[in-house]
Amino acid sequence: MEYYEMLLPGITVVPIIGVVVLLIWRKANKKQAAIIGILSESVALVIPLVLLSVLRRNESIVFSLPWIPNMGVSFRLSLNWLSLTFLMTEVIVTLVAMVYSLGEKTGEKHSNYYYALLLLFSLGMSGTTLSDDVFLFYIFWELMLVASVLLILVWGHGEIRFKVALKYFIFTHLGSLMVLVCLITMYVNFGTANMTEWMAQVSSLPVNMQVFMIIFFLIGFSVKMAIFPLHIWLPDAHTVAPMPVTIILAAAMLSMGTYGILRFPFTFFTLERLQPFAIWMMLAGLVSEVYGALMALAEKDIKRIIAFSSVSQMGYILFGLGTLTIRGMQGAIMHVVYHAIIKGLLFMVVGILIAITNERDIQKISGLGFKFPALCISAAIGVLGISGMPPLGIFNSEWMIFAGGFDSGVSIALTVMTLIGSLLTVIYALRFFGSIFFGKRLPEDLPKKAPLALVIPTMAVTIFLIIQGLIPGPMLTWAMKGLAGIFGGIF
Amino acid sequence: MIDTSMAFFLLIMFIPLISGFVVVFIESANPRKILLISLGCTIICTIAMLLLGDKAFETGLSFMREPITFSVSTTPLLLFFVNAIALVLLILTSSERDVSRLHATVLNFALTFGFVALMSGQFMIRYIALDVVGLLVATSVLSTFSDSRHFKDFFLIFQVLRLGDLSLLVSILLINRQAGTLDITRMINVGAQMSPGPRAWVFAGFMLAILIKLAIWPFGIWLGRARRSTSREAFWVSGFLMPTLGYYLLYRIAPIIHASGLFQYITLFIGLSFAILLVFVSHLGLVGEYRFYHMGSIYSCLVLEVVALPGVEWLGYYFVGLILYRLFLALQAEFRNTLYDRFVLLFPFLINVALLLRNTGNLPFWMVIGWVGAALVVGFWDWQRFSKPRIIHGKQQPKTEQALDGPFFGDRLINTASWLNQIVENKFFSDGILKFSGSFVRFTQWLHQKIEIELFSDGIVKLSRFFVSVADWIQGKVEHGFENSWTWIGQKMMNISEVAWFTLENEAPEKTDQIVDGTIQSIRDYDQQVLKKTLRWDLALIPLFLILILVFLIIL
Repeated sequence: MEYYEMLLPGITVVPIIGVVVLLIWRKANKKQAAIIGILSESVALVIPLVLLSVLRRNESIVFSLPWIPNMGVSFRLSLNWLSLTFLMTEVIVTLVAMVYSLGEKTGEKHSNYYYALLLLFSLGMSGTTLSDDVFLFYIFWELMLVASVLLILVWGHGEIRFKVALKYFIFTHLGSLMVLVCLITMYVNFGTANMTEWMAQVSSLPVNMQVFMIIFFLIGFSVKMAIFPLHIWLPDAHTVAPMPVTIILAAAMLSMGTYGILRFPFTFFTLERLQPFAIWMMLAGLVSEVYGALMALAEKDIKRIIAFSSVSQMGYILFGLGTLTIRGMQGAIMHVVYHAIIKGLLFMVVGILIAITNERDIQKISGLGFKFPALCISAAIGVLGISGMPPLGIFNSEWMIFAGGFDSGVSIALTVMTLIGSLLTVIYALRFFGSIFFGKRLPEDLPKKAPLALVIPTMAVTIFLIIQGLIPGPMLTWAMKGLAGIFGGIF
Repeated sequence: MIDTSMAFFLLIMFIPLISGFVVVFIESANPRKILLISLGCTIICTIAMLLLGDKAFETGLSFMREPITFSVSTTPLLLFFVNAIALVLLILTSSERDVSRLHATVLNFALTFGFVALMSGQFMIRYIALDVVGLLVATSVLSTFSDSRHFKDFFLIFQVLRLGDLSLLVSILLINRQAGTLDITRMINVGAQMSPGPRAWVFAGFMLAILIKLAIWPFGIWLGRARRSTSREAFWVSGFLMPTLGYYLLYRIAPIIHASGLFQYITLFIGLSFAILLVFVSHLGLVGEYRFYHMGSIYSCLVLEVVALPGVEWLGYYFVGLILYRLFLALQAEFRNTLYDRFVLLFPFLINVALLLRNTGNLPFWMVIGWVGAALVVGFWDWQRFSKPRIIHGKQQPKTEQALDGPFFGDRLINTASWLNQIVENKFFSDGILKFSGSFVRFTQWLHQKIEIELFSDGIVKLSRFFVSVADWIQGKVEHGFENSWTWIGQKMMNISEVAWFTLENEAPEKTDQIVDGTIQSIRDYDQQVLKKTLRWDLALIPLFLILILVFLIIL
């Protein structure tokens, strides 16, 4: 076994060590717990960076250890360009959320458990992206859910959090069960849990069964993506969760649905088999885009505005995937990354706004631009970014998604509608920005400065967003290489 | 290796950009001086590039895997040069001694991105530059945080310009799908040869983008807002640079329009109809903040007519004339000078007429008539637009012809002449014209009220309110409906589980308990009853008898 193969499980093992340390060290205060959490997550970030040079030589890096041999189950992890993109996104987002937590009140009590759960949440997502064994995949998939539910349940806002956590759990779990049905079906038919081996055998399944599984996979993962009308869990969960958890939920966890679609139906089934679903995916994407934007326009709670914007943005991603074209899918993958950065930034801005004003109603916040210029700049860049303003990143991914729409040949009108529909994003984003930063100033009893511990990570993400937009090359290459395994490698 | 042309090119691109950053970051810097120095350098470099001739640059860089190229030619350089001169004049003749930092930054950045938009050989880079200029146009109206009216103007301007950019993106992506490249020249060639369906979409996308960028009524509502809310020099981005970029876009896509007779007619029709309609609509807008928008818009309509006809080689000069016309329109506001523009306009008019004469044979008769009619109406309107309001609004009584008196005419003749004078000259011509003017004014007022104010201004407000109310309604009905549905489903499931729990988990044990209790009770009762009774020993003989019978049976 090569050294880099040995490094791979480190991405999952190091956070586990962090969790164990945190569980043992019960008296750790928030800073101490944060250091353990941030250290563990940083190591988890460094490992894929180290493996990047190896990945350039090889197509993928695989680590495999027998686990339950009688059932054909193994601890098998695989890092390829597709999983790398999603892995990096979620690890960076978690790291930023952990740093941001330091400036928040969240997690001051039971800090060790809070950071341990954040690590487990991240571990769930990393494991999901790396697993090449279906048992392992599903364990990590559920770990992600359980950790996030616990975070909402314990550190969420208000008494309503119990109901919201339950709703979030039931809904996303229903989606997970649909995925589980497909996974069990395949496992029973192929007699192995190794997902790489499945690829060669899927075509032997009856066509009806393939169609049935595609439908189940798409619906199951669409729940995680919060596509209309399966989005019902998202606004409440995002609103009630503490801000750092909201950042991870919106910026990282939503992308797991996209990864699921790329990893399962798009990897296992042929383009021909998926073609009938193209128009439905594109339509669902369009509806979600427009509906989410309309709801963001109607909402008055600043956190819910950004939450509904996720429903809208996920619509773009599903539209891009639905085109079944190389540019559409490249755009969708890039959109996942850019959306993660921008959504993280916007929620951070919202977090600062709530910390300053102690208010969430957009009608009660105004005129902050003059007093908080740094915050205003970050918000402006976030708002312009989500509106698809070049050269900020989302512009790159959006035009690739739209180009994919035209390439698909499904319907020019449908793509034009999606493209023009993006104007709604501009409207709700500018309304959000204008209402908060322009107009009559709020009473002078506001703090003179925004909390530095919150502003610094926010500014860092703002700069990162600008750089990502100006230098889209590496992102494009990763997304391009990530599509190598899709539809049996026809790209 | 950087040659002389490229050096000048880079200077034009980076001097304003760096100046913009200097204004942003160095508070002590004088924005006006820096802007003028930056403009001076830019103009000198542009002249040098005009002298050096056409040039194409390969940057070696790429954006989204497409090489970034620039193509420098006389037409865009000339347009840029005239724009830069216009900006210098606007700054120097401004009554304000200072240029705000925001405006100086916006203008510097606009110079850079405007230049990139004009020179880029790659369509996506041009699109990005256009998008950034659009943002700068909107930003130019922001001057304070405390007045939300400025943000509302920013909001409207940005939205409308963004709509234009999105429609432009539709066309770019559709051609790109077929051409497989973002090189503008190749894309336009491919665009002209596309199949009719996609080509119609391409044409529609370009046309909407151009109507918005040229601020042609009613798509130019943003320009009126920009004029109202910003300083004269900052208005250069909206009133000069953006329309210039629109003109140049029109110039580049002319082959696509010429590729189809239908597109030519549509372009001509749009130009003609909007020009004539706008003459009426603009009547009350001549004085005030909308005058520039309306007059610029009328002449942009004529541009559409010109571009629809073959003869593109003259277009660059034609556009220069129109930019100068815009400059005089802007300067008039300051100097109240109404004469210069008439001469400036002569040149575009001559080109219009020449093009018409050259293409008469290719055009249907109704189009020629329409063209001439529109040009006449527009030209006549523009020519006397400053005297007309004076006559109409001043309610001057027309001078009555003096009654002729003389030795050779008798009273009857004099009376007849006076009657004729009164009836024909006074009542019919003078009063009639006055009445007609009055009706015209009322008609234009009505049109202005109904279309400009109620339909467009109020209409947009109503539309926005309607839009928000629809969003609210959807939120109330659909979103909450979903919420309620899911809650209902959840409630039902809870009820079912409650009933199931009650029936199976709660009632069943109770019943079991009851049964068990009953059984125990009956046993007890039985026991008690049995035990209470006196034992009858005689009954104990029964089994004995049975055993005896059994024994007998075995023996026998």
